[in-house]
Amino acid sequence: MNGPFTPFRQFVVKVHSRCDLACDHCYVYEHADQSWQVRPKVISDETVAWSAGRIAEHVKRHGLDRVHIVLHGGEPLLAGRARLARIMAELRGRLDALCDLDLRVHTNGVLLDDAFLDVFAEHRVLVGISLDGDRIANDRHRRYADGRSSYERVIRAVELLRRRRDLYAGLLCTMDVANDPLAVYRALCELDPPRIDFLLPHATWDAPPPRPTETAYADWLIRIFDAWIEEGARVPVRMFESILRTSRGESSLTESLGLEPADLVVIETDGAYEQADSLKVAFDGAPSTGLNVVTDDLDTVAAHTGILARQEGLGGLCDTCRACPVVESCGGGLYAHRYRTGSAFANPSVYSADLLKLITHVRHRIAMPTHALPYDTIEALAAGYGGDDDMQHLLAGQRTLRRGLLAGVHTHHSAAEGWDLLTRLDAEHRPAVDAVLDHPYVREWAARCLTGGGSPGYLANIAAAAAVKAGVDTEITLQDVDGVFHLPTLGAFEAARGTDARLLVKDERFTLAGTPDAVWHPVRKLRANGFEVILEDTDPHRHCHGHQTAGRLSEEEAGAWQRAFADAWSLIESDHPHYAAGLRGALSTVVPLTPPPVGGDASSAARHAFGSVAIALPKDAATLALLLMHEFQHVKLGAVLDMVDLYDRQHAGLYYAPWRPDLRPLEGLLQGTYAHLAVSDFWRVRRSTVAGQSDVQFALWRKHTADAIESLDTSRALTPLGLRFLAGMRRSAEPWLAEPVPREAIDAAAELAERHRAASGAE
Amino acid sequence: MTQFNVASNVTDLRDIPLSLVPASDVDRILGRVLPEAAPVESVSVAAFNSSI
Repeated sequence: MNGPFTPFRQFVVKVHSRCDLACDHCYVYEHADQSWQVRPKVISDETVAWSAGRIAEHVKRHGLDRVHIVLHGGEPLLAGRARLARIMAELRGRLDALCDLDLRVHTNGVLLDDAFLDVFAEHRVLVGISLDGDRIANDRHRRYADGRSSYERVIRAVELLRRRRDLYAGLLCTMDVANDPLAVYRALCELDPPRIDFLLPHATWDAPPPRPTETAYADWLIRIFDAWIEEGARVPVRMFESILRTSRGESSLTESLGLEPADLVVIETDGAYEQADSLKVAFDGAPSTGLNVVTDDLDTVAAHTGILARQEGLGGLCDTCRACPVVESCGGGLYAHRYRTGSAFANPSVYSADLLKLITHVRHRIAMPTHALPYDTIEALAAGYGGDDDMQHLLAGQRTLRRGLLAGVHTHHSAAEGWDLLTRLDAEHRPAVDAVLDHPYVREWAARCLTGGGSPGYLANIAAAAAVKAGVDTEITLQDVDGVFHLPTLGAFEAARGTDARLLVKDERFTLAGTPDAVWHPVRKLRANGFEVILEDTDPHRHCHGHQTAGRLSEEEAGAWQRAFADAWSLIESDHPHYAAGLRGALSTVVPLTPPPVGGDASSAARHAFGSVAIALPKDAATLALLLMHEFQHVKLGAVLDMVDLYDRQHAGLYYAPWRPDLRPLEGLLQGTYAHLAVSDFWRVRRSTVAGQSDVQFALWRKHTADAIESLDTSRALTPLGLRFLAGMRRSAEPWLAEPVPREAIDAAAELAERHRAASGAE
Repeated sequence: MTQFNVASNVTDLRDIPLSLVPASDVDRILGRVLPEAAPVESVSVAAFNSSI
């Protein structure tokens, strides 16, 4: 048989059909289907062998690269360690060579001990535990037959798992709206689970759930969701994650939500294939397929009408559901919950009103707009300027990019400790986290990590810096990068050989645990007229500017920088106020470069280091002002290009650029032209103070800039927005061409231009 | 006066908890600012989650 059907990827194997608890909400024993009474108590080795063989056959036939198997019950641990070990060995033996096998066991936990965990560790089995919350919540249903509480034994089991975290899959909590939702949520979070599942109690229209109000279940979950969001969603909650994912068109993480076709089958202790376990609540015999592992392969099961009915997506839903605005997330809810005698499953879920309210609330709470640049900002920037409001738009986009890139880095194993602390601080001390993430070289570090070159463990340093700023006591191991333990925005410890990298943060002070006298280099600031920037000579990620960066400056060198910066800033504010506003709004960092050995000036901006410019301290303050203005043009334009397209990124043409010896790609030409717009403007104004050479420079750069604007215009590679941006640049530069300049200065500029063009080989 | 905007395709993540930044947005950001980086793959997990 070749379909059409969806192959199974999830297999629930019932290894024991009885339970040592007598929970009064259990769908196996307390609902319509009573087939458990005629099943063998425990699965036989022969049935396991048949089951493993059928799954292996299915995997091979359909080329499946990964399958999930859950050992379930009843209570699976009643099968005993020896039998469970044989089951796991059989499954791994048949499947490990064929695919990636995700093997789990779901248990009530009361029998779990280290001996069981040793078996699970040997066979790489993750353990999920059922726990309904705090003691009050748990004992409302989860009791022994004689009424005793199961709470203590389950908590003991979870504590064992916390000590063997690699085996800990998560906690499964069946809701009861009589319980305090936040007490339940907090109790579960305190057990530090890798994931929490909140499960609606199984019910149908024939047997509806207890419902004190019309949307009691939504209201209960919304209280938890709001707390979850406000606390930074630190513990994954599958239901909430699934609503968020399906709301943006991604797949659900649970069978109870979303429109994905069901790919799950149950194998009972007697080898019978059954449909979803939850169907036991519909009517006696509802999950039955009449098929068995001994006589039937899984393709036969997959073609069963009951299985196919759960693979029809939107087409399988009733008219009410199909017309619902949240159907992509809800998916009609769990199939079993739609049942009503007469119309069978052609109904909305008995939780329909709850799901609509919950999903609507989640979507409203997490409405995710995209960034936008006002046209006024585009126009201001295109003219070469941009004020504080315009910089705020660029800063907003950059903050998003850094958060997104960090989220990409955190999946690296070595980033785990830093990520854990950072997400906690992000939930409770967002301004401190933002202050660190806004440091320009955080993005440079993230970019390196994502292209295989960085140290993901440095995330611990970022988190530590945020903890210091937040005043949160913590202890974390720092990453050594290029011989320093750097704390972004704060400074760096020298990392001598053997230095203990454990950082203690207490009362807003911090020390290296084993080396309290480690040499600390705090960041210095440059200040001028109420404006301050970091003089960055400690960050190991600053070496991205294509020039040799200076090492740690002496106090004398730092003093020279301060004096030059104060004079340069004074000049910018007095002579170039249109540029000063943007610089004040978004320049945060200056990196000292080593002066070029051949003389002259050196400066640079790096695309991933928004807010920073790198400069070799020039001979005078005016040149420093020019270099600050020049490089900050690159910073601004880079941030625009990060958000919107000004040119066709597939365009492969190369262009002559009068400021470079080599031909440049279109973005390079655009960047250079934009930078020289400011350079031209600088010399234009400078002529009134220092004539002569300033006239030559103005004549040279206004011509070059105007020519480059025309080259860009004829490239046919600019987008409509790019053309609009270029038009703004032209509106600034064009009038300068008409400004009077002494004839000798024009001639000198023309000679310089011709010499450059000849040297470059351009025609 | 009406303020017109140029929309980007970058979702505003400033108020989204770091732990909830969607993988699809990470991919979109990588595509914009780091196209040479490999897309981040989503982790698939078992959907079955019945309690015991």
